[in-house]
Amino acid sequence: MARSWTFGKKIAAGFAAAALLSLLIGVIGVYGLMTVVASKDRVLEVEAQNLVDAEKLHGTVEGRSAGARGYLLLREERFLEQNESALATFTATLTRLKMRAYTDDGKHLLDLVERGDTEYQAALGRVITLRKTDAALDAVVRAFESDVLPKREALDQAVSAYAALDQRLLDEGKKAATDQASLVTTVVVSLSLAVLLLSVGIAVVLTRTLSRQIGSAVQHVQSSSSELQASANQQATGAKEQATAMNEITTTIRELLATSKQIAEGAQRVAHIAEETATAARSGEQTVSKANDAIGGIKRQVELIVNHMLDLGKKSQQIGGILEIINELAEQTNILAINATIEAAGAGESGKRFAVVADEIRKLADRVGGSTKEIRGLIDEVRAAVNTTVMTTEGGTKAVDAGARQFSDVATGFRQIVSLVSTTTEAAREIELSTKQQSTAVEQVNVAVANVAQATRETEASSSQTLQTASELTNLSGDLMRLVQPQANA
Amino acid sequence: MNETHVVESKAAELRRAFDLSFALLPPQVSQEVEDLLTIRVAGDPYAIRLRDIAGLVAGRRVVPVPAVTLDLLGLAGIRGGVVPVFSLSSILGYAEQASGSPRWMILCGAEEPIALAVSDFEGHLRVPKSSLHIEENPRATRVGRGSQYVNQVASTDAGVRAVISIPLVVATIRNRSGHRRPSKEQ
Repeated sequence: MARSWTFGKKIAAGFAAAALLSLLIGVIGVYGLMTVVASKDRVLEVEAQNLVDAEKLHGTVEGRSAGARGYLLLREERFLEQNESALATFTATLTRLKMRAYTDDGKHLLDLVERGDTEYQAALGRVITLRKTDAALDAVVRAFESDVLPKREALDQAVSAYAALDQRLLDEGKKAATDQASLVTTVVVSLSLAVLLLSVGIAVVLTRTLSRQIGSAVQHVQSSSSELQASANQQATGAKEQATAMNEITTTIRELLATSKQIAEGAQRVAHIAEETATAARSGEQTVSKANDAIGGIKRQVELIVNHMLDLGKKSQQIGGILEIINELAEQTNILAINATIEAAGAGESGKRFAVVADEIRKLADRVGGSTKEIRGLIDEVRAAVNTTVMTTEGGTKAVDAGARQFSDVATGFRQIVSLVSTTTEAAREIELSTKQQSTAVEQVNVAVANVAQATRETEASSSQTLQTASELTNLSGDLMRLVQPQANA
Repeated sequence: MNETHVVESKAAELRRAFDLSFALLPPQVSQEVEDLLTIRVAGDPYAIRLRDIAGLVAGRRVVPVPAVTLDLLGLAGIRGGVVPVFSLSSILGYAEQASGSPRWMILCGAEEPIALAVSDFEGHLRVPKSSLHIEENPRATRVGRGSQYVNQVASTDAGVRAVISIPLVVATIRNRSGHRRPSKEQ
């Protein structure tokens, strides 16, 4: 548990233990001093006062004795007053002594003093009474010596015994106070030595513990500061690279911003062109619809042409038939003319004119035959042309149908174009809006990147500062290590 | 439109020629000309003197009859009589074509007429007699087969055309028929 204490706790615990021991020493010293002072005070206030009062009892006894002697000698009243004053003093002193008496011996001796005083005062009263009776001085002196002096000596002895007891108690009190003071001194010195030893032990333990722990911590701090130095180096390098990257990012973002603006402008142009395209497509659709109607008309006209051509073919075929008849007639005419020529040749001279006519008829028939051949050729050409025209027209019809379908497809395509262009317009507007938002976002990103670049520069500066601080921390940890464990670096 | 003009001009030409034939004097037939009929036998051009034949008919139906010679195609009714029809191409030595009966028939002889069937009749041709040459060696002219029936050739603008001697042909037919015709007594 103590291992988990902090340095402050350990140092505070050490100082608290030392302070507690010092406080104990102080308490013990104060207690001993107070005890000694009390003992001295008691010695001074009780024992010394008792001894003074005991001496005062001797004095008052002497004064009473002196007053009684003077009255006995001179019979003057003032000596009796002196005797009574001394008695009052003696009584008051004895009363105080009895009040302060705390030992049995003292109380017993004071009882003996009081008893002796009573006897002395009774003996003395009798002598004084005797003196007042005009008795002989000698009798008085004898009575005094026989009756008062023994009482007085007994009282003096009792007072001396009490004084000796007080003197003994005073000496014992002095000795007890001295012993108490010596004991307190010994205890305080012992405790001081113990506190000193304990303080030294705590200091040694704290020093070793703190040195070990601080040394370990300093080593950790040293390695950590080295790592921090390396990290600061890396951080500084990274911050430089990051600053370079931020500059590149800023340039790229500017280009991106310009590109976004171009895209927005392009999208706007696209939207405009798409609207124009939609208009053109609608116009084209109408045109295609009109063209489709025109193609329908063309188709009907072509069908009419085909029908007319078919009629023409039939007519030409009929002409061919008629021409066959004409040709046959011409052929027959030719045959007739030839036969007429033969017959005319056989008819002699009279047949010559007939032969001429027959020859003319034959020539005419030949020409008719040639003409019919030519006409047949022409009719064949016409029929071929008609067939070609019909086929071409049918092809045209098919082409017109295909064209109509294609026009329908084109119209559908135009409608799809209109729809798609509408979609394109919306998309272009969305692109424009998105690109504007993107431009705004890119500007914000640019500002943010500028802030980041600023932060990166600050980080770079901070990294340099951190590096410097780490170096200083490394030096400081080395110094601290040398301070804590000199042998470690020696 | 051009064809229409051609037809119209052709008709006008015919009309004019026809009218002109009646408007002009009749031309004098020269004695120095020869009338020929131009035909083609198996594609080879031949000519026949008009004065050698008795007539020309077309499109008559030929009724096949049993015969010992391939030259006889059958019988046909011509000018109120039954006339035997012979194949001129077969007589000239051409292989018989299987394209049906020839359309043209050349009538020969007056008393016992016979008809020579010809598939292609081209027309009438009048040439000066000076253009007719007696062919000594008809094979040398290479005018076609049947050189034994060709005694003249006619030089025309279209080339040389062999002139078939109808009397020789008829004589040949009559000779063949006379030798092989069975007697009435038989």
